Amino acid sequence: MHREPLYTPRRDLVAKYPTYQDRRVARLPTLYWSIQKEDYAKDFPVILTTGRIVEYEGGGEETRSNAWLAQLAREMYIEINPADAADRGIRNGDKVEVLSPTGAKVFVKAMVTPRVAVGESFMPFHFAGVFEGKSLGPKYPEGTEPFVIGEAANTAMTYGYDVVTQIQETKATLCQIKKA
Amino acid sequence: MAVMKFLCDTKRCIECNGCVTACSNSNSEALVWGIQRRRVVTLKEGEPGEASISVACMHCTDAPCMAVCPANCFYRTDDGIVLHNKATCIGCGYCFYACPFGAPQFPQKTSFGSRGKMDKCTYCAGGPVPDFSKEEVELYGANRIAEGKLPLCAEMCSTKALLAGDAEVISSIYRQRVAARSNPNVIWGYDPQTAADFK
Amino acid sequence: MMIKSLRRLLTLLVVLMSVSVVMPSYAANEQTSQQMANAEQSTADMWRAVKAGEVGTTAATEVEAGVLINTFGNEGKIIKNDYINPAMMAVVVGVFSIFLIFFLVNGPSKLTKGFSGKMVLRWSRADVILHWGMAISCFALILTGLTIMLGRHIIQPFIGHEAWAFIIHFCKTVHDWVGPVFFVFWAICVLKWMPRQTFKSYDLKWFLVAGGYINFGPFKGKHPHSGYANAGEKMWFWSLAIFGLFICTTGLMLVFPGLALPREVAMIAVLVHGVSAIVIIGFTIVHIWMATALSEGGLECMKSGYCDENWAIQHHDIWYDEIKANGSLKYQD
Repeated sequence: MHREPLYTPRRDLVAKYPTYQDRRVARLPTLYWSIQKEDYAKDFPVILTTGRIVEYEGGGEETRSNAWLAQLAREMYIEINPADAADRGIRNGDKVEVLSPTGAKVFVKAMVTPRVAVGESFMPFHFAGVFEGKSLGPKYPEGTEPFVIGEAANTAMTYGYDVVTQIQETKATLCQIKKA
Repeated sequence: MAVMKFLCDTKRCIECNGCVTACSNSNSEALVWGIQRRRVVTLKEGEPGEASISVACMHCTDAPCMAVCPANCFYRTDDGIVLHNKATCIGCGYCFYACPFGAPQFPQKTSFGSRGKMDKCTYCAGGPVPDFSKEEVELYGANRIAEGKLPLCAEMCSTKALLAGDAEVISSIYRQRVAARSNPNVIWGYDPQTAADFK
Repeated sequence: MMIKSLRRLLTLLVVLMSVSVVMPSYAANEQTSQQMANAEQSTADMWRAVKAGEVGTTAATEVEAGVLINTFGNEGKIIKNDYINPAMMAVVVGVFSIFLIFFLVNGPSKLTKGFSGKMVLRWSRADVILHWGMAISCFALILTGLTIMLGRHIIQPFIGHEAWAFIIHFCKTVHDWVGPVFFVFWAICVLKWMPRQTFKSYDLKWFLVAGGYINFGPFKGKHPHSGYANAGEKMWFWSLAIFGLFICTTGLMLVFPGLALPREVAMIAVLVHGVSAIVIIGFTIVHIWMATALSEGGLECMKSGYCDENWAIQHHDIWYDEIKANGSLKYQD
């Protein structure tokens, strides 16, 4: 059956499809309801999900080091619906900051596109090498820095674990997007 | 005599940029990172009627670049492929202004005067220097035509959306596809062959 | 090509449909054909949009990479190749030959009273330097520009490939680097000389007698009034000022690739550059003819800055009277 994500803008669905009570999975204490009961949607109204793009694979460290793939996706971005972008005065290609309920803040480029629905946003998870606006490029061993580095999408993702396998929640959270 | 052309089937192109990657890889010696000879453009992205088209030099029969070039550095091969001579190119940019498809590129970033040598899709047919010479590889890239092969972009296209070859042949392939796709009895756009077909 | 094959396809469909209407045996195909036509309708609309220059999204980052078809490119090529290039050819050959014929028929315009031997200061040293700075740079630009524009028709067929590559590279490089030099000289000259070049009522009369250069018919021996500059020179000045502005602006636009201009703007710049060049080259040929061959004693002004007193009286009487009256007349030592 459906259970509403921990971070959700749909409080009505929380009432109907609540999550689990906090529990121990194996020996690990894992939070569920104590997070979901808070309403984050007032300050973080945009749903954020992450996924793949065709050019890269996984964390992208290998594919971003491949010259001919890296040239096709040179910057980390967030997809925003034109309506949401218009509300925030964001134009395609603008620098934006994505604020997460956990306090994380990532700096990416805005891709304004109707590919995502109103109230939703999407970030590819293949990027790494920049943390909250600060480049980690110099920390790579010499000559190993990929052609393309960018903010890791998971920096902006929030708490949540699968009740059986303990896999982390990477697909559903909330965020706020501001022009940087 | 063949007239070599590209044809992109927009109903099949999935914007995977595989053609771009194949092109860059095939001509890697001649290319600069970030400058691609081929690109995939998506129209109406995220809306109904979305379509992607892979585009590079279309090797026009009446090529504007060839007509407008002050140095007259373009020439057409017997296969109808439009190539240019980088030794004569003066980097004025006229071909770039005249080309309908945005094919000519200027990889050397200059701030004054000449834009450097123009670079564009060669249909994997090299250039005016001896076939497979070091000079050809470094200036123009691959010469698959001389090897009897088609351009790598079309050969590697995962959905066979991008077709390369003689105009007559590829347009008849396309015509068959359209006929098959528009037939309600055929679901996939081609006749799926099953074991039953071979009985 | 895709469009062509599509068009061929649609024609095929239409033929198929009409055949199926006419021939009952094909009636069963009619519905299928109809569906085929409808299925391809959206594709036809898409190609129409592409042809009209619709912009899409792409991973490529070059200028206007999202534009599939640059609609103006081919039109610009047609304007350049079919109109501007032949016009340039016509102006260079035409103006030169007209003046050659005129010179052979008419002969030079002589000083009626001969040379006085007394030289009057007409151009300051700075003016002479500015003039020759502009003239040499302009002449270099004209020669290289003509090679860039027409060289592939009038030079390339007669020389070898290596030689042609060298010549066109040389011309392009010279054109790029001399252009800004010309721009500087042009700007100073235009600003410095502008006050003397305003049109006056007597300039109209100058045109009525064709400047007094004609040695036969009703115009013979006429010497119209004129100030520091005569009406013809003023026309030359203002053409150079206006079309010089066009040619310098467009030239600077084209010589900085870093500006990353949209292709349409760049193509328009090329066309405006060409048209302005036609006007300036036409006037330059006239100017050189007038100064060297047609007007006796004219070239002397730009050699030393001094002109013969009789030349000044004959060609620029109002100016001569004026400097005589206010005492600024200065003879050569």
